[in-house]
Amino acid sequence: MTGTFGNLIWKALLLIIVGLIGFYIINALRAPVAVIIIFIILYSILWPVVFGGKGAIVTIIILGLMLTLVIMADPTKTENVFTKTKLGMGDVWEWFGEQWDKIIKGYERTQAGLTGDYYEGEVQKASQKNLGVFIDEFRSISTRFEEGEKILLYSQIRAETMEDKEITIKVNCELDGKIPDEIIPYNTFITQGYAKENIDFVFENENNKYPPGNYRAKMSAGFDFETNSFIKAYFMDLEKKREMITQNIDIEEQFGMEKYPTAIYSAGPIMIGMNLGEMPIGIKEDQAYGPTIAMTIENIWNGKIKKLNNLTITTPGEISQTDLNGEKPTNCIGCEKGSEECICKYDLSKEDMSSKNIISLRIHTQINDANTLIGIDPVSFKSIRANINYDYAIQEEMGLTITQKRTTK
Amino acid sequence: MKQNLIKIIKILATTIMLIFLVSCTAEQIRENFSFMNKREQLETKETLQEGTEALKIRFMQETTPSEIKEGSLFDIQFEIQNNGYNKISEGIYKIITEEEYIQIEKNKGNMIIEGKSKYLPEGETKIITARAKAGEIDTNIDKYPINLVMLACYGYKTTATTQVCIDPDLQGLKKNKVCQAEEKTITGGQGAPIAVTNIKPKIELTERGMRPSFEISIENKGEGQAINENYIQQACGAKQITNNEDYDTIELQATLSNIELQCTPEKIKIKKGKETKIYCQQTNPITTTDSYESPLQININYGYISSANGQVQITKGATQ
Repeated sequence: MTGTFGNLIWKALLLIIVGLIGFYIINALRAPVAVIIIFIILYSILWPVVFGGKGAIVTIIILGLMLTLVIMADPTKTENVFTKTKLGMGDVWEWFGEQWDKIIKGYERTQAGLTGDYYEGEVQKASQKNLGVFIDEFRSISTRFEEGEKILLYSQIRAETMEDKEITIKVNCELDGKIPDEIIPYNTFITQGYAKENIDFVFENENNKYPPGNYRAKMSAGFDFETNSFIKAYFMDLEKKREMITQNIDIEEQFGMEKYPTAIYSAGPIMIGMNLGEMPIGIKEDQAYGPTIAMTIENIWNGKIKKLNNLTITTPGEISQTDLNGEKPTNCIGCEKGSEECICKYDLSKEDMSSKNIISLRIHTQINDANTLIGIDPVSFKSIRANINYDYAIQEEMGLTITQKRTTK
Repeated sequence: MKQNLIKIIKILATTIMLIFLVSCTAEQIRENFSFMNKREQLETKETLQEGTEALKIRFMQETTPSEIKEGSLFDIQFEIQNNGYNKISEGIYKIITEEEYIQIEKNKGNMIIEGKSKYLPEGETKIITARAKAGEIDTNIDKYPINLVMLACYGYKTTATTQVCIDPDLQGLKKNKVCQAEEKTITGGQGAPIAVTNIKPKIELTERGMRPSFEISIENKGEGQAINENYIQQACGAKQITNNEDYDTIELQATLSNIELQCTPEKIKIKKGKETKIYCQQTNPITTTDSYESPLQININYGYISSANGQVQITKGATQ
């Protein structure tokens, strides 16, 4: 009897220690609320698993204690514990959704990698700017509104672009699928450089438009943005390259170049990865075909690419562009012999990005002046640049409750 | 009187003896000094004629700005040091970069630079400065990295001198030989990037008699590329001299007791990190049957390409 009791004590102690360690780790990792809720649920289930029916009592006690602690910590959350739990479960669902999105993106990336046309880029680390549009805050003045009471949601949007770039941001909000009655001060604004805007959404709640219950409010910000990317390209006389290889000379070391350069892209929602093959590119004097520019465009944020617009590729003037995945460029400037740069625009608006996050492109080129491309030095340093403009949308969600109107006696 | 005369004679004799002794000692000291100087000189020469480097180039990070604003002027600096034993009297340098973004005022020039000596044990050092202007970078790009490469093409020489044993006794029947022929492995180089690494003496038996021969191993132990000494100017240019097979060949001359040996191949193609073997043979047969020591001198003339690189970043925003 004593032995059995002793065993139970040990098991209970073990479970308590497991719980404490778990909470410590979660706290240290600053895990999102959804993860904390999942942990509490799993931990509560652990007790009945170990102790059988009696364990369920402990589960109830734990959950009770947790709720009490939550209520004590934040009295505003005392109003409807069950509603909070429901909203919390909504967060869990949202968290699972995010993880699913990540899995899908990872799968797409693996698929692209397996087929051999996924090329990574490197975000410009040196950049001091956090380019893009961000929803820093999306809240309501209260988490509980009374029936018929005006619902006021507020947000803070931060946008950062390069000084010479102007973007248009269009903000929207939905509550139960309905648009706000008023957006203060405006829903569309143009910004350049660094900007922070506070935008409020007013939902009138007359005529039982929003009956008592739990709601999720969604806020979205759509904006036009552009991402730049560049990759270094090194050209060399083919014979000279062969000669150096024959002599076992490390060409990359001799000229301080990377064998497989990585594209560097500007910060923002999209990554542009590029690949030109092994460096240096050996060129024959009479060579006509140029290097193929393999490119990957990937949505790296959690938002959605609404539409891809134009892709502009700039190659050295000695390299003219022929097509992108078989499609001719919409227009090209300076791609003839003797020009400094060859700039071609490609229309990507037909690309359907609603169900995918990655696209792979191949730009075929031709050499119009091999002698100039090789230049007068043993190695010719060049770069290939890409610019893409697109419409992007980010979204934030929050939960709120509308309660029945209190009557005063 | 007689006694006085004897005294004078004694004093004179002693003085003469002393003068003689002193002069002998001074001569001895002088001879000793001279011998020591010669030995020291030889030792210094041996020390200086070691190593496998020639021109060392270093990008001067401390004096070249790491970040340059669009449109601003700046100086690119490279330090060159002749860490080898020979003087570079025919050399050119060139600074290569992405011309679209960096314009360099004077990106090439000639160079003459002394090698290691008693007074310059590390070799002469010079600083190459080039004034440059940063171009404009793309919108949305905050910083654009630019590679700067300095390439130097110059003529260089390797000289290896060693005593070798010529031993015509192929059967090894003779006793009390002066020396015995044995393979010599040379480590440490000869103060030049192309190093003689091994000498294997042989005796070839021909119809006309016995001829001393040597299997000489050489290797490019430096960081750069070896070329024919006649193509130094072209080496720092873009094109390969496709019609001339001599471009990447170097030449070796060997003498045994100041008599030139016949070496094959005449035009040597050298590979970095790999030994190349050259076979040198005395044209006239030897008459003696006794072994003897003889000085073997190997001279290799070639062109060499050394390089170094650095990086600067062009940042947004023009300076006034």
